[in-house]
Amino acid sequence: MFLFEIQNLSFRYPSHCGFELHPTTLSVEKGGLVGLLGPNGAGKSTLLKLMVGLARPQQGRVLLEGRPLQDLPVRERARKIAYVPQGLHFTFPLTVMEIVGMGRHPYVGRFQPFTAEDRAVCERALSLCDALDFKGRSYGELSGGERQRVLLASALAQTPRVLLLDEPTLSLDLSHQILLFEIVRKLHREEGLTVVVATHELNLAGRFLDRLVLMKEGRVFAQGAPQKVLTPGNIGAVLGVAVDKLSHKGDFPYFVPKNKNAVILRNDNG
Amino acid sequence: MNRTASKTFVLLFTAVFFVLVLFGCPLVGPTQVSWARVFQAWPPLPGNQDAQIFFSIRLPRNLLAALAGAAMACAGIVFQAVLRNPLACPFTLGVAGGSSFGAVVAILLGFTTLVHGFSLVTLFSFLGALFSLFLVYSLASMLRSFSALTLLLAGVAINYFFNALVLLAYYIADFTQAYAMIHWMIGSLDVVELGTVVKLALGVGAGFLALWALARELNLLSAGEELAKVKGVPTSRVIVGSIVVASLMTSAVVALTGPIAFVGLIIPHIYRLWIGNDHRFLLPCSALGGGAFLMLCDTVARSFFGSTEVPVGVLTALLGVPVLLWLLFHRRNYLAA
Repeated sequence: MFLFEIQNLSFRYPSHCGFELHPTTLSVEKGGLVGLLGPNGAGKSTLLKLMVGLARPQQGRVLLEGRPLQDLPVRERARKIAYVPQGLHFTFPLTVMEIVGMGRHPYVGRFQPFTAEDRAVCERALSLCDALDFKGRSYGELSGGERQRVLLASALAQTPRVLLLDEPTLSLDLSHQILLFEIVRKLHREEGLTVVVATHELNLAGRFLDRLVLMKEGRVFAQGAPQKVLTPGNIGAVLGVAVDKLSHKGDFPYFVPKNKNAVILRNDNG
Repeated sequence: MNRTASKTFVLLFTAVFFVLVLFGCPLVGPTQVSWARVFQAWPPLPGNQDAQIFFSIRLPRNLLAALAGAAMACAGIVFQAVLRNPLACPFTLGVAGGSSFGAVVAILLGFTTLVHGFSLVTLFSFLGALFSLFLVYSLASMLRSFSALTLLLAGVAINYFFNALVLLAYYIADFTQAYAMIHWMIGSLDVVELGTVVKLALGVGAGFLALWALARELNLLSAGEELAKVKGVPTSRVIVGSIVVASLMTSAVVALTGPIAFVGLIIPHIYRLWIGNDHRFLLPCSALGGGAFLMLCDTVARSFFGSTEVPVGVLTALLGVPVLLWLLFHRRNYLAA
């Protein structure tokens, strides 16, 4: 059973120039742990935005559990899909609890205060993201890694079926990148969440995710199991970098650039 | 839990302060009025001069100040939240320009008649504000975008356009007219009939309730439009709805008082600094606080300058700036968000 079915979806930004998502068909199975990989401007973020309904496709449609996405009221959609954008910052100061509490918005009535259950869901979301320690603090005081975990907890507070993450490890150091991927893996394993992650971390994606979709210039270039998708040939063709594949303790493929002049291809429309 | 308790405390404190100011300020003025003599007998005896000054002159004017301050502070909160801009105020979308233009035209044409108790200057100013809103709304619909930036730019453009027309009218006006125009544009409170105040109160009250009902949505919108949308807020509807309501409230008030500066900017910030970003509390706190602030300013404006009266729009800025600066220096982390 597919959770998401993307049928012949195409999208262009209103300025009629630059990036375009060419007709794309893709499906995400229930309980999948999927990575979207590809260079900047390949269409990863756009695809995520189309999947959460932030952008309206020119053609094609997105089905969520067999229903067209645009037929779902925003509130109902927010109960099923949670999305963490990249590089979020706030104009007015907010506390961690206020941000996590926003995740309960699709469940709380207009004039109702939070119930004990709402609060319990928020606490649990924070603890799943290892963020309980700073629940009383202000978001502005947190480090990049802590902020990302708070945003993730806010998404979990929606108790969604599917979690869409747009470059969650952006600007995190290596240990926080690994920590974040471990949390994502844990959520998938223990909470049964379907997760789609857009990321640039080839090696971590190969290690932590079950299925990868490699995108290039608004098209799906390859998809499947990490071992199948992550090959020096595919990486060279999509990212334009000549890489060596190293094997590390078993099945996880690791890639390093061949040498200093490893950039082999230029993106023509870049 | 603790935070909610302190927010409730601030709200109660502000409410008590509001009530004290509402009934205390009418006692102050060039003619001293004593509380004991006003309420010597109930209903007041015909010859009771204190009661006459209190009930038919100062209290209606004080109520007008309360309503004007409340409406502009609420509108300020909403504009800042929806546009996610700490510099936004009730006039950001061109209401000041439009209403000034309407008022100035009425003054230039020498209209002095009353329609249903409202002067033509008031009515023209209200129409001018509505017209400027209509222009901003049309521009945004033409661009098919109700994003913060579109509204902000459209509002600023419309405001400049009307300000240019206002300057033109000012230039061709004669001396008395020019004085009337400046007086109107600084913003001042006049003695009004109780009936006018009641009509305004109904409108402002309804607007406040509509905005308060959207408090949670405003919390999310002030954090980000995309964020609000993915958390289940129908963003376009809430943005347009709250902006229309806040603008109507502002237009109605400004038509009677002129564009009194600063209340709609400073009061929201004082409460954001004090209780944080929860609009369920920010809106009632700002309404009561804005009302109290404008009542105090107006009392100073009409009482402490001898026989002349200073336009209240001058005092709001003079008194408001030190308060805001004091708060900023004592809560520096507010700036480092």
